[in-house]
Amino acid sequence: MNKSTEGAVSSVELVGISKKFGDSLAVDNISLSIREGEFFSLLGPSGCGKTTTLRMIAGFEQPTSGQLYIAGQPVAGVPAFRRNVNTVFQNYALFPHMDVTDNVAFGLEATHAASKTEIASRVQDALDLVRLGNYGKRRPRQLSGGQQQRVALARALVNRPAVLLLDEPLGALDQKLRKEMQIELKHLQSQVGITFIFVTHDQEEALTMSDRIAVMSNGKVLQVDSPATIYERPNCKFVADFIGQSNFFAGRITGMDSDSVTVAVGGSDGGSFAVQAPRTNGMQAGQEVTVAVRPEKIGLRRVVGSDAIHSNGLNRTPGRIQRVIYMGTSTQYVVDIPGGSTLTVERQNSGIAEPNLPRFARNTQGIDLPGDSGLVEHEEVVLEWSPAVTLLLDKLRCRLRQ
Amino acid sequence: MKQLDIKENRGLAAWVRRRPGVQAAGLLLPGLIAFGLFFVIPLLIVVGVSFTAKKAGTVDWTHWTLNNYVSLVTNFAGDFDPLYLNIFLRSLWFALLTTVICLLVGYPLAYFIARRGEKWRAALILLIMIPFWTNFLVRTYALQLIFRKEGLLNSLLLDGHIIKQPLDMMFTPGLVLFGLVYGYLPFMVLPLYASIEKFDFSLLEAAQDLGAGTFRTLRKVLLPLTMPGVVAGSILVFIPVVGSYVTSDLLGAQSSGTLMVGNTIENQFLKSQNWPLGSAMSLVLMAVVLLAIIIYFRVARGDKKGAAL
Amino acid sequence: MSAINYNDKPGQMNAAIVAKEQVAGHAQAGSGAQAISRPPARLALPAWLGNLLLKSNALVVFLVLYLPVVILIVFSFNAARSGVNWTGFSLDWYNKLLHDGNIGSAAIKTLIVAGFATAISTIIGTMTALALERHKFVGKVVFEGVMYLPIIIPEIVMGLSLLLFFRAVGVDLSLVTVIIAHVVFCIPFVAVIVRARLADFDRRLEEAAMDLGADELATFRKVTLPLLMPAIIGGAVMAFTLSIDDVIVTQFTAGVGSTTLPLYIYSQVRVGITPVINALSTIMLVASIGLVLTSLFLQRDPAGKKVK
Repeated sequence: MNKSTEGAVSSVELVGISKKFGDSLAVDNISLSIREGEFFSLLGPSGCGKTTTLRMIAGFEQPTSGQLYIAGQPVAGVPAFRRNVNTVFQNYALFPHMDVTDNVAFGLEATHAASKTEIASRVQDALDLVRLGNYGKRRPRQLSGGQQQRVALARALVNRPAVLLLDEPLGALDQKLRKEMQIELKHLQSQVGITFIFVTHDQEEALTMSDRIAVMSNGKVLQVDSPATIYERPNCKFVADFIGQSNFFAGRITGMDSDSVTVAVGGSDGGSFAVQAPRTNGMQAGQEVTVAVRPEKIGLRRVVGSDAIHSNGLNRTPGRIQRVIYMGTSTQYVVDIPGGSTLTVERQNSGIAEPNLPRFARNTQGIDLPGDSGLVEHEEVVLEWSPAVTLLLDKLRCRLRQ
Repeated sequence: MKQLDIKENRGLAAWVRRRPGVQAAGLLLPGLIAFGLFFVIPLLIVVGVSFTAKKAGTVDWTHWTLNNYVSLVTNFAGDFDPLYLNIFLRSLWFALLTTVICLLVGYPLAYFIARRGEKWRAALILLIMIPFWTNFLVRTYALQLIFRKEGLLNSLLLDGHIIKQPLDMMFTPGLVLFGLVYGYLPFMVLPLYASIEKFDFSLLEAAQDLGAGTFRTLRKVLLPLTMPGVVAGSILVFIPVVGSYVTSDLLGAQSSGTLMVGNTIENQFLKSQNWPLGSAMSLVLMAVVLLAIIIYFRVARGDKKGAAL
Repeated sequence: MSAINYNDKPGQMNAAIVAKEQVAGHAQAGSGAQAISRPPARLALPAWLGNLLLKSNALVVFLVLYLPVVILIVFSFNAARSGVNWTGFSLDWYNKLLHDGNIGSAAIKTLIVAGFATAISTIIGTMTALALERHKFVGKVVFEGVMYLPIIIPEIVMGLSLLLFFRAVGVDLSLVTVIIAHVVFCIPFVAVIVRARLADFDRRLEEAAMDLGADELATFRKVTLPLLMPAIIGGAVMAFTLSIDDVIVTQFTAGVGSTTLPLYIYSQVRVGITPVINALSTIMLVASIGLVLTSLFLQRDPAGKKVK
């Protein structure tokens, strides 16, 4: 039996799993411990190995090395039809020659899991669960994408598997339907209580739905954490870049004290400035690091006279606005800073007056736009952010924290 | 909750599951036997027999000779005799003409059908196929009915006072050719249709939008992209025609202008009982056919390996 | 305060656009007052002419194709024994047909041969298609080549090779040898048809079935086979048609007393015919059409998609 640190039985456990296809290594020595009842996502760009990992759990591929446990039992060599795991496929894979009822009943009939009457009632319950109770007699080709997906869900869930695997199930749906299904899936999962393992390349989706996310790249797992931790405390540049947006600088640690470090951020033309960041284990003076700050953490305002003398404990740099990008809920500013680089700043168009910002902007028709900060291109501004949100990332490696 | 059964890793099913080679072998075995025993070996026997001496109605394995091949190009006196050569050439020529005519007639037809709406397409293809399902012999015999001296065409022409004497059309090369085209046209139309149907017709509009005239469009856009169909259809017509004998038998009665290789081989085998000679001819026929295919592929597809079949 | 990189891409673009307009302006000025000049007229068939040619070609082909068939059918009802004069409607020949023992036994033999040949070749052909489409193995290319050979080899060569083979092995010619011959040349056709469908087959459906608990055999039975059935039926119909119609190969491999219908007709047509043959052909045609229509019905894709 394998247990996670909390003492609960892990639902799925991968230990040193690798998968080779010919000469290429699709999955490179990954270890994961997925807890019972959790909504766990495998997130990464195309080709990172997330789907291969899922297929190994499902039983369609066998690992080249490593051990795989489902509900505590080793499943090496056990074919897919004997595993207590069900999959929702990316293209739903509904059997076109059967109606919805037969599709959903397929698993129960194939495994002789119950009597005819019990099967019928369980099928009806599953269809009711996904709100397709009256669609039993329809054929897959008569259903919309969203409906097909719900049938695929019902077909998998009716078997009461220990784990439900979902392979980018929302990929084919349009934006609005996707958002609805995300909420539905999350709701379903908490209702049914089964472990969900969800594969996606859409980081927003993963952040919204998951209890924990495993970020993958090139066959390796880079970080496994809750969505907030992944977002606020990425382990390495890849994660910081893949999830949300980040501003990156190359820099060197020039000074350290008990709880903070000073990093000199160099510019391409010689100019540089210093930033403060929290100190963590393993930092050394003189170390080369990558500094990362998220756009929404940076505030911007006009220059104020007292700036020259006063430091308010924030990291600060002057800049000149290069571009203003209006995005509806927020506005992004691309700001040139000394040293030749640019910072992207994102500011919510809240319409609340702030000190040192023009009150409103006026558009070309003379109408006031209360959300707009009124800042325009070529304006000189000051950018500030808290040391607490300044991330220092190792230049080369991603350290795995579990 | 299902209990996972580790015993699944042992046992015959698991053993077979792990070995796709065994699965493949199992599936292939019947085909392998059928083909090895009843196709490859017989062909090898033909090769062997072609080198033996004639013994009526059976094979004489004790006498080996190259005579059969020699006699294909010489007469009894040992001089060069183009008799069989002519027959071969004529068969090739007929096959070539048949293929070309079928192509010229069949391509516009296939195009026409491919351009119709869905219901029309299915109906038209069905209509093309129906004559195909009449027995081949019977269809050819029907041609006899029409073209005989006292046949339909002549009666109509005579009654209409268009001609004074009945035309003697039977047993002419022209009639045999017509019969061949008539019999093998569906073999050309179907692959052509399959290929044209996959063609994206908006490409034609794009070409014309860019300034290409009709012929340039056809030549540079339609034809190259439907080439697989052309190749497949040509092969499916050319090869059977080279070796055919029924049409030339019924419509040509093996007269001197219409005798084909197939007829000669049939004669040797079934009438003269000269199996070795017949075998030798067959092998030469096969060699010619294979050569023709290779040449055709080189020409039509520019050295790419054809996947038309 | 700071040297900001003036990477004025927008500015550069503007300059380029202005330059282009100037060039165009010069060109326009140079070519005179014409705003847009057309390229020289290209040789194009007007649409109506092209369509007319296509239509007439199709019409002629259909007429020529059907004329002999129609004549055949019409004259099966002609009271006259031979010649082309219509002497009156008569069902005599059909009567004679039904009472003709030779034809009856030939028909039965044909059906026996076709039945066995179709069944065997369909099974073997499907298995072979599965093996070729889904597995890799040593010598696959060679095997594929050999398997497709019967399609392109002249039938006469196939026929005589089997004749020699059976003689060499000492087996007498009979209906069984005919069946064997038919099986050999039918298998490739079945395999090609089934393979085409297999190539398009969505393997995810099989994975889904296994994921849901069906083992390989159950998956094949409940998912693969039903979806493959239209192609298998198509292949079977093809095999049946080829078998019923075959003359050349049958001629070489049939023993005395194994006269199939085509052989019988061939012998009659060479000698001299009565309109009984017409009647026979008409019935065979109707039967073929009926068979194909039935098979089209059976070939309806269980997934509901139209059959090509």
